Amino acid sequence: MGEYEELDERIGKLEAELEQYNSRPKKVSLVVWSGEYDRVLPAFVIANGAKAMGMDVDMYFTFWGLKALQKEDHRPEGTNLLNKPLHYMLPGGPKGAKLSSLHMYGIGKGMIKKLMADQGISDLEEQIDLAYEQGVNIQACTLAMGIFGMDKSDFSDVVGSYVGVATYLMNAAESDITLFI
Amino acid sequence: MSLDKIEADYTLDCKGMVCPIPIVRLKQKIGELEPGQTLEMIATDSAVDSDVSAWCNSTGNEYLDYREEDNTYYVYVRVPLN
Repeated sequence: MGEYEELDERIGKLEAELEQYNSRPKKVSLVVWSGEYDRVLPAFVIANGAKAMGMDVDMYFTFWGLKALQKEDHRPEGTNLLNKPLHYMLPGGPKGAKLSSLHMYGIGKGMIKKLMADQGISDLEEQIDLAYEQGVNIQACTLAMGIFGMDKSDFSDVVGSYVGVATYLMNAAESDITLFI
Repeated sequence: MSLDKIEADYTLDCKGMVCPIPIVRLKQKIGELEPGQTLEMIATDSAVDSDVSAWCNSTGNEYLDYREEDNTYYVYVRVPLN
């Protein structure tokens, strides 16, 4: 085989690989560390928008973010004297999520929810359900679950998997967009 | 393309819906259309022009046109032939 034919073949292979790479769905990985209403809500807006754009979406919930995925009207037992009271002080679930600013014992959150409803903006519960329906991959960090003394039974059905940092890193490395919220 | 010549095969009413619901509905609806068919979206969220254009860019659909009348936005999208 001549030198040019060999080069031609190699270029053809590279072009095919490049086309395959460019035509794959774009991927988004979100780390949801915060549990506040006004941080978790935009995380789900981004996730739902990305799914509608045809992108693959992973949401990796860790630390306070885990509390937002808790079953509604449920209090985790906790595993020791330090994490038991935590679940009394921080109710969790979309209903229990506080505002990061101007929460004012729930008065501020009520006002924000009223303003949102007036604008026709879907509430956090609806956004979470929509993300689940659209196939957003919702993951809970087992390290943070251990700290908070939570197990799988404490979480809403939207959680698809219980994973560690290696899973997040593998997904993030393949992603076109990553955000820490 | 002249606006009054677009005869949409389907109209998607997104009035009163806000980000990201219009594009979520658009994605759901466009899957039901045949190649070459046109969809008209009617919305009140002023982001739909930019968002539908970006959505088309990402999904390979054709962004045809956009007009605004009395704070209502009309966006036209075509499913490509292949």
